[in-house]
Amino acid sequence: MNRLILILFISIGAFAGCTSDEIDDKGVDLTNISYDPQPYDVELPDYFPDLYSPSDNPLTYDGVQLGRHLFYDPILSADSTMSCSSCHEPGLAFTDGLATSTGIDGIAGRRSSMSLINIGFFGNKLFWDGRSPSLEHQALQPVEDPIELHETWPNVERKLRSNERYRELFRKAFGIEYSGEITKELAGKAIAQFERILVSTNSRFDRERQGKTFFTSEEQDGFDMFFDDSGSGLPEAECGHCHNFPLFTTFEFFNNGLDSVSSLEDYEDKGLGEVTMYRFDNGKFKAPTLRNIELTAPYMHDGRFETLEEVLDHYATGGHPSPNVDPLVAAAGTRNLSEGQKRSIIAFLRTLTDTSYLQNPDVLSPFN
Amino acid sequence: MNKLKIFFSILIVGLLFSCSDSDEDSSPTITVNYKAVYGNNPLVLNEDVWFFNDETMTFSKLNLFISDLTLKGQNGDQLLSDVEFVTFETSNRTEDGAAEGMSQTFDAEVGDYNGISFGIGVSPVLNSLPPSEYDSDHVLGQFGAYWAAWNSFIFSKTEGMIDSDGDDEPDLAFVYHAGADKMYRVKTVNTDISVLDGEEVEIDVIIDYKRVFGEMDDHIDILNNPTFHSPQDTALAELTQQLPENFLSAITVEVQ
Repeated sequence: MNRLILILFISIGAFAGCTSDEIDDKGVDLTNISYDPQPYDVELPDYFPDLYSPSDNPLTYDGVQLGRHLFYDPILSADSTMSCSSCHEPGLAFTDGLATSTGIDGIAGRRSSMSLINIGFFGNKLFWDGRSPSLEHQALQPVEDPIELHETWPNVERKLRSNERYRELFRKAFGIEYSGEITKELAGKAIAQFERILVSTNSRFDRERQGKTFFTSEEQDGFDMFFDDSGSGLPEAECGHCHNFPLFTTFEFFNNGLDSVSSLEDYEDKGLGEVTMYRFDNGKFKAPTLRNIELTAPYMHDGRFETLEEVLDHYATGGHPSPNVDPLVAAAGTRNLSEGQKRSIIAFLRTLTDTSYLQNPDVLSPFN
Repeated sequence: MNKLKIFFSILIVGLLFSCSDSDEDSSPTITVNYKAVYGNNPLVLNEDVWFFNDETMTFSKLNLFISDLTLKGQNGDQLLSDVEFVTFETSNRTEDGAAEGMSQTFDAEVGDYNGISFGIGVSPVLNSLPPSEYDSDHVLGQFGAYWAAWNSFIFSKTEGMIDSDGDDEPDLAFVYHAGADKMYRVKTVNTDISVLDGEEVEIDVIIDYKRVFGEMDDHIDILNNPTFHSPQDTALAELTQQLPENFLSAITVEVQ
């Protein structure tokens, strides 16, 4: 009989313990908060591609709002001093104005912060070296990078689950029932949604395209050279091959002749080659969008050029020789662009400036 | 009782087998293997091949569109695909990969066909619309393959470097991009193709890039014209004829 009572007590204890653990794992019940996802529409000109969203992460108003909070909140960093926006400032087309970015420990990275403008049109191969297959994946990386936010995702999840505001935001964005369902995957999805609305479509170039304004003759010359309009009688600058209309990138990777190397193994930063392990990819980097290029100095993956004039000077020489320099970059060096022609191309590049996205309150910090 | 169990067991096993049979996809398929070669050898990207005289060349980028891939039949044609993007960027990084090439498989209808045809480039119907008119995951939804100055997709990209003086250092970049409707060509090959129920037919489409640039006595002068990407360039008007014609003769088809 005593043995029976003992077993009974052990069983009750086990049940009680189990129930208690389950409640701890689940966290706070959030079902009293409404969940009513509404699609977030982004208006695009008809000459733009579709804004890609994966089927398991459609753009919703509340998803964007959650992503916006996470993007600007230093809660993602180990010492609560930096957020995504520290290296991606809205006024600088979501770059940081530095040659290479510095994380919470004051350690400078080896590459420049990339603009997030129109990042939603990039389906895959994100970062300068293409190592990330999606925005959802990319958004997770800086948190645990020791030279960026230097935090751990389990710790971030713990902070978010214990934060009343985030419990509500996650519930509204994804319909979770308990705070314990807040995960890094959902955080990545929300940040990706926010990044997808960072759209620039209202530059002078766009207005000219839509018949609302005209280029100056200098800008038109720059346009003709940029896109190799042979009918203009001006030299072909070969820019549009890698920076094609309308996003001013082809999403591809190129060796644009930044370094003179005799062997493919000699690149200090191997770029795409570090990811693919294919030696002919060494020294190749993603062609960034040129939309808002005026705002994103310094230029190149390592910020080596301070000005657009330096960039044009580089391309006008055909870049430095190397076994895999892109043929189009090498070809550009044979065009003998005059100083005036280079100025015209820069004048055209400035027509790609557009800060109207800053008028959208959804892209700005919710903490100001 | 045991007999009843055995009966039901046999019945269930029989049903399972009959299910498997009926579910099996017996429709035939056509697998098209696109292969890039240089002369008689698989073309490996970034490896030297002999060009002409003392010159060697390496190819760094090879791609092209194929449109309206069609089996020709006396009782009617069968369209396998309206457009495909053929790129050798991944497959041709090694000799083994280059030998295999890039493959695509299509469902087909049973029948005896007497030929195959396809367009080299993007057919005028499809080429009349820009990438924004196609879904972003469609092969024509890629803006990097469109040239707004021509209002055309870039039908083929052939890029690389030439060592023109034989010192083992590439010294001249070449870029040949074809596009615009006037450079579209249709290749038709008369050959018997029997498509049988449940079977796969393999067809090799072989592109000899040596012939793309012509024969020894009549080859495209890359040294003097290293860049061609404007079908409107009157100075290179001859190339708008020669390059697509060369593609036409450089492509052969073999039914396995």
